[in-house]
Amino acid sequence: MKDILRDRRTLFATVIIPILLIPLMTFGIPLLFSSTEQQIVEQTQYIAIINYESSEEFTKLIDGSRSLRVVVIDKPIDEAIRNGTVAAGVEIPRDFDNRILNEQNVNITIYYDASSRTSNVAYSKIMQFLSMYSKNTVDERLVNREIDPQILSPIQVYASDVATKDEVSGYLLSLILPPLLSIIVATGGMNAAIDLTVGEKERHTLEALLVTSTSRRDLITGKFLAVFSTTLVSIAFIMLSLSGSVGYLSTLSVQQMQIFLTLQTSIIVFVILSLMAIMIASLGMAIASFAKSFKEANNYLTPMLFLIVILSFGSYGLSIEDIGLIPFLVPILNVTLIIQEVLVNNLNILHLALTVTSTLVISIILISIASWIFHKESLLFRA
Amino acid sequence: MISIQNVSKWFGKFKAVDNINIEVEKGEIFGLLGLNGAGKTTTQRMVSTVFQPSEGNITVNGFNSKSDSSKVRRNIGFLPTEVGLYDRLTAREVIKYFGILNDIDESKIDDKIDEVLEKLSLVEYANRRCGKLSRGNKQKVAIARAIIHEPPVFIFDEPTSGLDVISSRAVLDFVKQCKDDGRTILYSSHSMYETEEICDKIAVIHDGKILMTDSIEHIRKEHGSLEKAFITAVKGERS
Repeated sequence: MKDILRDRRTLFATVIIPILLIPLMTFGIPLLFSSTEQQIVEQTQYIAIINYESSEEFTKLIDGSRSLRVVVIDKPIDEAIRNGTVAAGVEIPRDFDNRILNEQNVNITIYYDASSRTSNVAYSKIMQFLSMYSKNTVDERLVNREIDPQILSPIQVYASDVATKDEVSGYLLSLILPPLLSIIVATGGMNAAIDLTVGEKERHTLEALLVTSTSRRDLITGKFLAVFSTTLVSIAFIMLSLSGSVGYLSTLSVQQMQIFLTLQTSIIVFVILSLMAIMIASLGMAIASFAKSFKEANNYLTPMLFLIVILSFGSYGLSIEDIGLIPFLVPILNVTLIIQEVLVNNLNILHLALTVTSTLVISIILISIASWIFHKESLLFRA
Repeated sequence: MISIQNVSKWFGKFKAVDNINIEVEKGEIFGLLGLNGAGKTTTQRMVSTVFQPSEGNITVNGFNSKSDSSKVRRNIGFLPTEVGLYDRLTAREVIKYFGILNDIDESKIDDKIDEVLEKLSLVEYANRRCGKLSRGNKQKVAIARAIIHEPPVFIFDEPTSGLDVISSRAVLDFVKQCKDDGRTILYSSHSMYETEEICDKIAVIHDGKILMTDSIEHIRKEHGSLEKAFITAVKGERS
């Protein structure tokens, strides 16, 4: 244990990464994303109107809005959009005003670049403007006929969110954090597992260990506990870092980013992650015991990390209200889902029981495999 | 003290040790002499229970290596060829760790460590991290780690390999001192000179087979020197 705690690689994975990555992920990236998105929306986008001369009024209305500005271009619209001269273009027919006046349909084409964020924002703004323009035109025509425009809206819809502020913030947190937590826990655990198993082979300390009075079963148990303890340290740092980030975030009045983490939810998340740590430690031990070298262990464990990432992000496509019980038998995914449930204050005891049981059963199987490899000289000393 | 009877060891289709028989008496230094890959290390690993024999039986101090492996391990101190220390731990920490793994009472362990450090002239390096020690001192720490629980049997696998003359001499003197203390030692080497100097009996092992077992005294009488006896035995096998 003392040896791995003096290992810079393990320290980096268990202490430094949580301290740096959690604040970065929980508040740095969303803040950056939010501010970039906000900046684009607040900016004025330049657009071109093809046949603008056919409706001075329409052009003035768009140009008059603060968020869009009409410019004249001297090249084809698609080229102007691609080289960034304008963010989007609107093509109106040459007889635009006449058709509106005569209450005829008007076909309008919007040109934009779906791969450009700015162009997408301009497209949305144009759509919003056209929708409003269309509604005003209809209203005007109805009023001219002495008909109340409300007749076109027999049902008025008002959405009322029943989720509490805590539940909403918990949901936001639950989208970002579970995959991140899983990956950090897995990385910390895997490094320690490699160091204590295949690391012993590479340092040539394994043989000396095997000839002590301690049985191989006790040796593997001790190693497992050391890996587990290291991962627990990592989780403790994750929770501290998370509390710090969330605490700092709560002092910022950034709308839609208020995140809520109580002592109670922190404890439950800690316990759930510790369960996952048991499984990760067992998995790491089983795989790394079989490997001949660090390199080989990494070759085996890297795909495992990818699998962990995929399973963690698997929760993105699922709604925790109606996913059934099967996902709670799938390792990693079930832990992610339980953390989500905890964070939205909707923990289901049956889901928790299934997660705990399946995680422990898988851990026991994996640790048995690691122990078997430790007893099997042809596997432990593979040539 | 050590009895190896009709022992063979297979690794897949490769027979590393072929039906060997060795008896080592209490207080004796028994040398396993052979070229690299002859089967010395595999034999010592079987005695120390790292490997189990594919055929035959090994007993150490009356305990069978298969059925009483933990008792066998309590009775041996094994020094593998590779030093293998934890570079991030100090010499004292490494020795203590192995003392605990060998069931030494924690209240007595510090006194025992001091004793071993003194015996191996390691006192001034006790609190230095192993990664910072010289090759010779690393080997001494590895020896201290192997003997901290004071077993009656020591198994040394090429303990002077890679050491300078001074360090080699210190190790050889220590092995002799162990014999004087009444320990039984199974010592492997490919050096004729050190084997001849410290061993009471030797077995020449080649391609997994024992070609010759005899006392050093008798070998000298018969062949003049161990080197001549070894070459005669190996050449005889090859022809």
